[in-house]
Amino acid sequence: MSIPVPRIRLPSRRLRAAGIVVAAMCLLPLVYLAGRAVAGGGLFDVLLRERSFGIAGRTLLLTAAVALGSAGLGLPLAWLTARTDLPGRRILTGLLALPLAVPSYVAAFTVATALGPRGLLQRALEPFTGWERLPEIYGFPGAFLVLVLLNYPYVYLAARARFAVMDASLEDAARVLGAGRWRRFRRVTLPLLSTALFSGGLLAALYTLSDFGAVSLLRYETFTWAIYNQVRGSLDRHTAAGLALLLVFATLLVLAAASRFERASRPSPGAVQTRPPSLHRLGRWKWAGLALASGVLLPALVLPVGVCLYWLIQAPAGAMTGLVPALGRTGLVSLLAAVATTALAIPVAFLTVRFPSKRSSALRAISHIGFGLPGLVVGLSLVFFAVNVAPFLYQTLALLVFAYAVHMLPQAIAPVEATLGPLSPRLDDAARSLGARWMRRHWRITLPLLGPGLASGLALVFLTSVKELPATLMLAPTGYATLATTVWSAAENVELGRAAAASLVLLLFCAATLLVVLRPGRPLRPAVR
Amino acid sequence: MKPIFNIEKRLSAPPSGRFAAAAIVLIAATGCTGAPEPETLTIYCGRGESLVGPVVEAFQAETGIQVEIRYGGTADLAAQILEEGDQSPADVYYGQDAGALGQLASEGRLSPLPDSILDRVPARFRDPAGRWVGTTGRARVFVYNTELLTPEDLPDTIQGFTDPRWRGRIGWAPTNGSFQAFVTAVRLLEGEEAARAWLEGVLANEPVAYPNNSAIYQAVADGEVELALSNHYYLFRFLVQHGDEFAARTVSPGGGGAGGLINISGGGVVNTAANPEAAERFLAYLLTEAVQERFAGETYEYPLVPGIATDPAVTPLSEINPPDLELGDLDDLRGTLDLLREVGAI
Repeated sequence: MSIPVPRIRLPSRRLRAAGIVVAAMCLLPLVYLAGRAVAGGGLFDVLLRERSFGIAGRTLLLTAAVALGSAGLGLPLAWLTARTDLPGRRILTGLLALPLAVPSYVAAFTVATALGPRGLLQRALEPFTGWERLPEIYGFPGAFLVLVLLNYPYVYLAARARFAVMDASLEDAARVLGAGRWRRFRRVTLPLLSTALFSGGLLAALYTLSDFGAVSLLRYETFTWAIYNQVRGSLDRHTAAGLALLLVFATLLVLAAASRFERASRPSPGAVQTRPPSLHRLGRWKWAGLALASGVLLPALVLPVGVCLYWLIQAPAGAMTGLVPALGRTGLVSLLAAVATTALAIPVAFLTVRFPSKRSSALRAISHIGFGLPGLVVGLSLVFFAVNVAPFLYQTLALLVFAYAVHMLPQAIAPVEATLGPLSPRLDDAARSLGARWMRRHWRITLPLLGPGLASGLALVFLTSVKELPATLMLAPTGYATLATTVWSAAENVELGRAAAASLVLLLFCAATLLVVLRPGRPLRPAVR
Repeated sequence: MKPIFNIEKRLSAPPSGRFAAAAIVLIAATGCTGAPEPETLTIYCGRGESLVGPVVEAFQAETGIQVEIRYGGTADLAAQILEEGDQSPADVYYGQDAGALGQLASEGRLSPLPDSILDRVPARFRDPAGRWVGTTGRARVFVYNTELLTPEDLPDTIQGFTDPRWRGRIGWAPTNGSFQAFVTAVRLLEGEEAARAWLEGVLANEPVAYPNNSAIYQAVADGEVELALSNHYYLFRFLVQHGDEFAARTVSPGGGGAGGLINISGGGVVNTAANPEAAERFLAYLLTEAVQERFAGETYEYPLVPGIATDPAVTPLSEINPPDLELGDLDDLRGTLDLLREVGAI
């Protein structure tokens, strides 16, 4: 007698094909870098330099610290806004995601101005304390502070999305079994949140690898800064490519570390929300909650906005001209990028979550490479490919959208994976057994169930596309001035009022988008129960 | 707010309709870039749009040549041209740093210019091999706060910045391209060790580091620092915006040396230019009297064509004691970056 062997589930041909397309797309920068670094001897140069090891150490230290810091800040903020009666949480919910849209050089500049050794804070404190200098902010502390303030929203949004679909019954069961508040959180809630924490922390880590603004203004030499120095200082693309390959290696290390921890704590699927948990009453603790939220928003949002307003007030007339068309162009390209990137993220998430294998982990790793690379490198690699392979696409909107997708794909993958994880594949099987075709199954069941993840993915890609600068300058159609390029060119020309006006329009635009996507109190919820 | 509603609407539309809509948008977006017209001139411009845009419009009106202009960072655009190789759409490269021009030229990416263009400017403001030409110049200056200092308090040379009496009172922009070109000049003129000693001396005075020149001027006017190193022409842009009560003014270092460096903005014709005649016409146009006067009046830069008057508010070029230095030699920026990093300035 033979025991019936359960049928091994394999991805459909359609899904595999989609995976291959995404992988090919995301490998372009790597192919370019390998060519440049090997042909020009850049990799060899870089590996032989003693300084490269210092840079590698600093890069990994900052990356790990920002990932942990973002988790440490994003989780309590998500809990406060999603699960407690914190006063003003409707507004705070949106505001707390907004630092994501603040370009890092703006935040770094304002933080350095305010918290520098002889900055605004020192001058405000001196009459009372007599301190002539504050501790040095340049180097690790400043870069860490700014990057955590800008990146905790990755964890915050992922954790919020998870809170939104969390079922009350698990915590209730723990309560009935006599678990105290802390124990319930640690043993029930936290494990359910682990995917969100890891995926959000991973995005924060990868963003840190690719960031130039904060590390350059606050003077902490990482790979990205070294790459920019090579390109801007001596137009040396070969050494830059060698450094960028090491950065790819760092990205893969970070990814491997994240998935190792993640696998150890992945929750089992099957938990669909039947009833949202009730809100915790904060009581007197609400003041602590408000202090935490405002302590974050003050340097990450209020300070940059304040500086912009200061410049705007002094601006001459005409500072606003051309901002409306720039807003339209920004909106169009960011929207196209958000939709295209999220669409590409869906097959990747399905392959990695539903069909874990070596091949799907490889796809996942490949699709993350572009996000760890600085925009300058992604831009240069696509300049090379477009010019040599598809010259008719060079400097068109289509190529720019493509570049954004290569650069930002992980931001859409993470939330889609996080919502897909707890969903049972049996729903799909049931629909199949009822005779529903592919299109209908996905349209009526999968996509609605993925709703919150898709919305977060769209929002994350949209917000970061809006502020993207180096690839936009290289690849946008000639004359396609966006809000980010307007801020840049105005700042270059010392038209500070205009730079401030464009920055404020950019932030308001992002705020409006977030308010629609997040819709506090009415989180996007699976339509099918 | 609208875009997201659009997404949701599209998500609820039948899938085929959604894909068709996306396809139409993409095709419409790409369809507007057809094959370039023969008489189209493509300029890669590392200078600001508000400055160059009107000049380009006037050029189009006068010559009937269609101009496509791409703005970007001076170094980034040069790197882009290198990456584009033979397929580069650029005809003209126009940037604001002699170093980037020198690098493009040494990579063989700039064609030799005719003497009719080169001879418009003095030899020290162009490539000795004739591959790029300067269009406007800028000087290094000491910026000081007029409420805290008088011109008599100021040092005469850059060495003065290492005097301990300036401890905690000075500012600079170590990541700025103009500053780095200036440090390269110090290295070339006085040697590596002297450059290192100067940087270490300034660092001992705990200078405040600003991200760019406008931040420096603002900080000096606000009294955040009393004295700083910068480029000369920013002052006038601030005076236009804030009026005479703006509490910062400048002096040109009288003592010569690297402090008297005049860096340039300039351009060249890309070696793969599809339209080299139009490219040369554009460079020649930048060196006409009308455009030189316009630059002098609007940006307060130094016109490089002899006989064009510098704005009366600006220290005349003849009163600045320039070092004996080939501008194209300022291309060893890598050595400067290494030095700045070793001493901890960046």
